[in-house]
Amino acid sequence: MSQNNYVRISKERPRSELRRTIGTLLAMLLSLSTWAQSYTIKGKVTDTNGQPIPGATIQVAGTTLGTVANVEGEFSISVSGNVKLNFSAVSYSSASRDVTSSQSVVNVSLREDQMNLDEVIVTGSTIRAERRQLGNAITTIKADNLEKTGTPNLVSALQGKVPGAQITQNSGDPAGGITVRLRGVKSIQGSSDPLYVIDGVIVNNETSSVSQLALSLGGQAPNTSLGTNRLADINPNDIESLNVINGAAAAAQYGSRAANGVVIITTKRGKSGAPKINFTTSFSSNELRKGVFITTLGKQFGFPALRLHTIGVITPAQVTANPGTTTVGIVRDGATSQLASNLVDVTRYNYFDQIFRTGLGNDNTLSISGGTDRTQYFVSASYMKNEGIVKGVDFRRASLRARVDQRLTDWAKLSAGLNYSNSFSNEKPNGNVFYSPINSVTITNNIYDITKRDAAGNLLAVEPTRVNPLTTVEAMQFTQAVNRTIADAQLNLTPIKGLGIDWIVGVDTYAQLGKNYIPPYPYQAVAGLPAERYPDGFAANANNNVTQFNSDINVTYETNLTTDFKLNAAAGFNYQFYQADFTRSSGLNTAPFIETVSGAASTTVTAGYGLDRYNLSGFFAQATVGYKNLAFITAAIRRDRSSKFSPAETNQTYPKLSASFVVSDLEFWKNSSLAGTWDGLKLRASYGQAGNLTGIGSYSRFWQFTPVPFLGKNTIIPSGTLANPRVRPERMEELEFGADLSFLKSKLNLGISVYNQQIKDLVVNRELAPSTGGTGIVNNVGTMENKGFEISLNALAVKKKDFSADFTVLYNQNRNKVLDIDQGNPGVGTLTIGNSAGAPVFLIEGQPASVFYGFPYAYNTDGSLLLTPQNLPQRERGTQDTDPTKFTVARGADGQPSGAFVRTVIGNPNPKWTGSFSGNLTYKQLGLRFLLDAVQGVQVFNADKRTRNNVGIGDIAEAEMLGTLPRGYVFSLVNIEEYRVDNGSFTKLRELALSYQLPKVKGISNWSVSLIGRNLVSWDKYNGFDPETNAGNNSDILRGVDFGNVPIPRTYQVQLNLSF
Amino acid sequence: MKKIILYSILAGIALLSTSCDQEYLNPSAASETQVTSDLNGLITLCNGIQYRYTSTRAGIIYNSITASGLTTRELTVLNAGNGDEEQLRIGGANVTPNNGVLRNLWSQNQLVKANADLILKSVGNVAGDAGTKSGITVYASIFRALALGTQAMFWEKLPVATGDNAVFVTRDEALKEAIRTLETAATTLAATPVSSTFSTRIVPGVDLTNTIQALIARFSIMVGDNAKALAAANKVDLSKKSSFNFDDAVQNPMFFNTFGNRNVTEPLNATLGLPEALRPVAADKRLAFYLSNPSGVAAGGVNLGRASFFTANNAGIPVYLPGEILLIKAEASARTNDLAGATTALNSVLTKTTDAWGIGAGLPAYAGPNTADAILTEIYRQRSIELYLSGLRLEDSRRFNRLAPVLGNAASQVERTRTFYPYPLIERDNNRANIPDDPTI
Repeated sequence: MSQNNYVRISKERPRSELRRTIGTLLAMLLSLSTWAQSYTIKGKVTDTNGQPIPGATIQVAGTTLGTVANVEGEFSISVSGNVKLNFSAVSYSSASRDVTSSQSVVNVSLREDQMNLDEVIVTGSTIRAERRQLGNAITTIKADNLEKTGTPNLVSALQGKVPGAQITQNSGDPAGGITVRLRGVKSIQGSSDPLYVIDGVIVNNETSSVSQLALSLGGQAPNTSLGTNRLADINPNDIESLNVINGAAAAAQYGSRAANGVVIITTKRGKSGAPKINFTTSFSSNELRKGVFITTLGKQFGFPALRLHTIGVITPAQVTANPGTTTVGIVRDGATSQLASNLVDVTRYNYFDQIFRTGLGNDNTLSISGGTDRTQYFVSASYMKNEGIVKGVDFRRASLRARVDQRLTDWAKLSAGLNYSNSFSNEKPNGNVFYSPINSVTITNNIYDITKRDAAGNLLAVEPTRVNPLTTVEAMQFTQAVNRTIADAQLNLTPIKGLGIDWIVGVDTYAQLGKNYIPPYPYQAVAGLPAERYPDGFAANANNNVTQFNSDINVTYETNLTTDFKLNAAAGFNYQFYQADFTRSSGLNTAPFIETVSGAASTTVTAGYGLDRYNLSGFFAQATVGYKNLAFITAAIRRDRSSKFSPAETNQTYPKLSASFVVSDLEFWKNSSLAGTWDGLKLRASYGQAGNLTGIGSYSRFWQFTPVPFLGKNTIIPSGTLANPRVRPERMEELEFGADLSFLKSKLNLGISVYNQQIKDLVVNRELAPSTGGTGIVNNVGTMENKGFEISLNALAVKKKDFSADFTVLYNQNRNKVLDIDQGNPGVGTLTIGNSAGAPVFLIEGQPASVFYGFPYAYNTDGSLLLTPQNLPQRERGTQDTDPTKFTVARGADGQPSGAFVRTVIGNPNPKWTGSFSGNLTYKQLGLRFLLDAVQGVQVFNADKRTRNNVGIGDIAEAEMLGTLPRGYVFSLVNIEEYRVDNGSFTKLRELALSYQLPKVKGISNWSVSLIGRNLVSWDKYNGFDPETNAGNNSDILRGVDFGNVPIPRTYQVQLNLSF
Repeated sequence: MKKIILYSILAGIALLSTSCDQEYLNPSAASETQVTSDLNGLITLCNGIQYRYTSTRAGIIYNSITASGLTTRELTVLNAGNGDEEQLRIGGANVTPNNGVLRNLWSQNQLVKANADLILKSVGNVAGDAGTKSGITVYASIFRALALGTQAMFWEKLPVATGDNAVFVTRDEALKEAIRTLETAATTLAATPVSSTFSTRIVPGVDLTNTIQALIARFSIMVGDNAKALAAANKVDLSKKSSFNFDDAVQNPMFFNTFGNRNVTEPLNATLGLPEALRPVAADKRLAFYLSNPSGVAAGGVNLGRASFFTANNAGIPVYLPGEILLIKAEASARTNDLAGATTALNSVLTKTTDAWGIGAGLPAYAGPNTADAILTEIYRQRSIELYLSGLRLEDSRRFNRLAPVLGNAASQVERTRTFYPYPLIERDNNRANIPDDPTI
């Protein structure tokens, strides 16, 4: 009952507050005319060479009053009384000037500073700090780095640009998922996805599938997270800058949600001046970059009706029924099986030709911005449509964004933003099932002409129990429509000099509507499809409504304690609320022509409703003491409480301590000869703790008694999972050291960070002895660690009037290790991550998360395969050690493996290192940008490879038919799991963009045309389509598995930018 | 002016900071307290334990029939990709403690027992009419007994009490506990007939009175209490059906997972996997009841197995068959040397042409030697045919001292490939102090 109350209050309360505030503010606006004597300061901001610095910020110290320099570097600002003006610009040191009313012109020149030590950046909510004060690495990505990337997806556009991040596009579908992982995996039950904050609003990036219910309701894709992660609703063109905080640094502001890192996104704002219109339009073409081998050799073992002709065991009855069939005995694991040894003629097709297409896309954004000294606005509208390379798959997004900044008084400023987006995707069944486009090709012998139809135009059956691949792209309909609004209001006050009070209220809310439809197969009578392929049709509709609300109040105070010591203090309170309402209904045996659940047979219809709610509130205090602008120490503490936590765990406290020291600003350094070559050095160190809430369910602290439909009578089952007696957030403790160096007058910049993250209280779905009355319990019992380092090197090679070149290299290395998954129980050292791909994914104590653990090949001591007397590969045997990853090899008298089959770690989906090399070159009006992105030292579990060969359409199957490999080779590989582990290392030409600045035309201030390529080339040794893939999609624990996944397309784009 | 704004903000802080004591409950789920302190809640739990016992591939019906069927050669595996089933088919040391079928069979039995205990513990504390409470008590007791008894058919020892570090008792003690539970339930039911509130809210299908007696008979014969078995069997009204029912949403697990396709398992052969001496005769009408093609060859994509209660999503599965009760009478009589009584009961199975479930052998009366041993062998044979795929054959094979398997000796494993199962790792790893050693085979 009180729950209902809550919802009402939460909306009314801020609203009434706002109403009162607005009334007050209006009254103040009216009284502005009676304000104190004011005058105007004009001036120009230049660099040391006298070149103007457009966009430089001019701020009246101690107030929120400020302006921005125009293209010529000129500015004008109205002030009253004696003031201090602060001048700052990106890549320049800041400067300040005291101004009295007698002065009307103030010209300033700023020194270049590639280390950006004086750049003020948002570290969370409304809290800002100069980069020199920060003890942590924070990466800033600017708008120009998000443009001309060839992708309409914001997360995808970040690939290769963030130190310490591994960003993986899990699927090539335009609405597919993209995972960001900062410094490794951090949770087992929960998500390792960072927290995203746009203009102070915590935004939702969840993956809740409403359009893959055929899979999820049937439990056909366990441990996966299928569908679009919802940052896809954001138009990257609206982004001004993006700060990525890899570690625990944002703990003070986001406490229990900061462990995975925080991405702070600032959208574009209007600037004073005449209206500025920007228009960007682009057309793109997506194509399959690389196919996989499918044999079209017109042969097959045995007889045409023999399924799995490479591995099918032939019975004497089959030999009798198919004259001409001969067999050969193949010995595998000590048992002999009769395989067909004769070849017959068949006609083979490459079904992929019927599945893939060239997809087209276009993306248009129009924005208008401008304003006066007191009011600035930014409005943008966009429409994007992108077709996938699988027939019938596309994603479109229309969005509208507006932001207004209003100066209320010289000590009060109001800003409000609104973003509406509408997304729609046409999808096909996800790869994890054999009725998906890719997998239906992989699992079906390609000796049927799938394009044949009966007189009524219906497709015909292919191999028994298999789905005609064309059915998946022609008949199955999976769609998802999303309406989303993100709104924020922000009030910034500076009532007293040095004191700032900021209040942000943010709402992110969306409605997701999914439709799922598999019509009855016209050829079911012949094909005999099993129940999990829904032979008589399937329909489901689902609705997911998500609301997130946050309110942050921050008070900051800045004062000089002595002439040498300065204090920046901040304290605040924030409140967050989350609610997701999920409704679905589904049914089987659909009526002809009816595409929704309304047409399902009544006895099969089921429905469900789920409500997930929690709140989180926290107080924090933070203080930074600076010495002579050289050395800084920051201490912060945050205390959180949440409805998710057990009563005994109400208060969660997160401490943080960091320090920075700008060594190169010491007088001795500045005066030494060293300063000529090595001009910058900043040392930083930090310690912090942060939490992760995603692993604990909103109701984990209760033993759930859940209803099930059963014979029309009310039925409730006590969950097999018992209540967690001490629910608390997973806690990450991090120690980070780093240095920023610059050389040769800031032409060469180097950043290094080394970190050690210890994660404890990891939520693990632990097994229980069933005699306790449950089979599992979700407990905070695990520990895990991430250790690694990040290096970024930037070189401004040339900067001349007509020619410039700069290059950036990123290198990241992370080592993840699962330390303990079942505290207090030495008997349990491994946890299986079940999946539909048959990938042996495990969590093993002492090993990185999600390793592939299974049966290896038997090897000779020289590293070659130990073959059977029939020259076939085989599994290793011996004795397994207590350590589940180790074993002792055993050999019989004949030199062949003996003993039991042993298992070991056969692959690791966590890369040894990731890195990128990018460059920007300009020559007069021409610009060239490239980005090479590498993920190296990583393995992929290629489930499709074995399927293709078992079915008899793969490369080894062909080799056996041609006789280049011995008969029985595919058959002998079936149980060797190491066979399916492939080298997944790749280096991709992620981005290539060539732009040309068109000659000036009256009325157009700037226009350019660009040719852009994305994922044009991949250098890899992978046997499948693309090693950058994941059948678990956005799952954080099922990684590096290739099972019917749609490959990432190669994209060509032509783009036109116009500014008026 | 300033003050107003500042006060507004302070008020905002104050308001927001008090709103975090909110406790959110899941409206789509109930709490233990809610369900166990309400009579209707307890009825929903009674339905819940039946759901857990009977439905899905994780349920006890699927796993007991499949495990017993594979171990005693009633069934074979069609697709070796069903690794857990394949282990059981091969048997011997191939049946490992991490076998998924055994894990489910163990876990779900323990959970049904624990859930039944919860109901039985709570029903006394809830206000309500005696007839409804009687129904709840009887229903939970039946499933408690079923869970204990079914588990005792596959493991030598098992925990009867629920809790941390639960101790194990012998299967004999567990079966006796099951019988005690049923006897108490019989008394309760006799004293207080169930209310209409209960009977309209409970899932239809299970005949309480007859099921209690049938199960007392079943478990008594297992512990060798022949007199009790006979007495209870005589109380069962054979014209009544007692069944676990299903529908299109909660499907018959044997049809949905096994006999509706040819991917998991199917009958090994047309002779129901019996050794030569015990094979059914061709005239036996039960072959047509249990097999889709009595010749033993699966036709097209149709599974060879098809007992009339495994033919559709909504087909009901018998809790017990009339034939079982008759054969218990025969066995109890034979074991107490009442050979005439034994033959009479045996003949009623051999000669019946149908029964409440449509099963009838339509064979001539028993004409073998009039010795206890010969009659018992014929009883075992008839149990194997009449109660094909009921999950009872492993227990029967042991009780009738059929050829016991010896580890590493394939010839000894023709009738059954295991005698008892190893304890699942989920129990061993988490209850190390109490769990017994695994049997050799």
